[in-house]
Amino acid sequence: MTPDHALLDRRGRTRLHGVGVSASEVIGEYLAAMERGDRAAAVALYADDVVMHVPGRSEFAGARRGREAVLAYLRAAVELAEGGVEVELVDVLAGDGDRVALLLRERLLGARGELVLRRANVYTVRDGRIAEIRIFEHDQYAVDAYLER
Amino acid sequence: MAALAVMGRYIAAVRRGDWEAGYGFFADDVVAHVPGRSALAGELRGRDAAIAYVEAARAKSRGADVEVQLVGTLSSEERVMLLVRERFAREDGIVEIERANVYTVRDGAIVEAWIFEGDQYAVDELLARA
Repeated sequence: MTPDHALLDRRGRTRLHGVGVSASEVIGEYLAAMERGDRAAAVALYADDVVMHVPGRSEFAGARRGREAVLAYLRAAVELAEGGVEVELVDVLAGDGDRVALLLRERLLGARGELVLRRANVYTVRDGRIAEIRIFEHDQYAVDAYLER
Repeated sequence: MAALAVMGRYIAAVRRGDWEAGYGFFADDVVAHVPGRSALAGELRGRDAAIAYVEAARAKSRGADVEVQLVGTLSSEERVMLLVRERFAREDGIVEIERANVYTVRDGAIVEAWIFEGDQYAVDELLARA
């Protein structure tokens, strides 16, 4: 078990306050963890059976089920950006019950050059955890070309 | 007026088929960012360009068996996201697409629109065939 997993489990057990926490609060916590680079804390906010819907025709496209599948995708996407990833949070939209949307502008520096993309990620929160993530792309063709290995 | 209130009035106008009233919510210098590789894609600047896009999209779906469902509405102070599911009945089966349309509202008018697709390939194929 990696240290990440240890922290993840520890946090998982202690997050009994999760039920009743609003979707916006959970996503706020998720963003704060990402911003300070605390990947374990961010991952702990995914439900065990989280489903991420990745659009497009890359090898990553489709419904990725479970925390490990989601993590594998995120890791692969970051690895492809050898020169780094800059993520700008353009806006946070909420007010639709258990859903929160993040508008993102991302700059990825990969072997094939720079890709600047805009996407909208819609998170569904249940019982204090992120249960579903739907990615909507503004430039799907560029994203798929980037994800080709 | 808050972004959500403005978009509520825009949606109400469109739902009752009053497109002129709906277009009245577009700012003169509205910019619409339409993704994909169809003839409709690109950065459309100005109310006339935005209206032309909406009219072209409506024309393409006219006569087609299309079901549009508003799945969700999310908002911030100046933006509103409409989560939309569209079902197209085709001879070769049902095509269902989901998209997120994000509108920026300032001074009571829509100044910018971004479309984010859940299945860009299906959208472009539909637009090519229509």
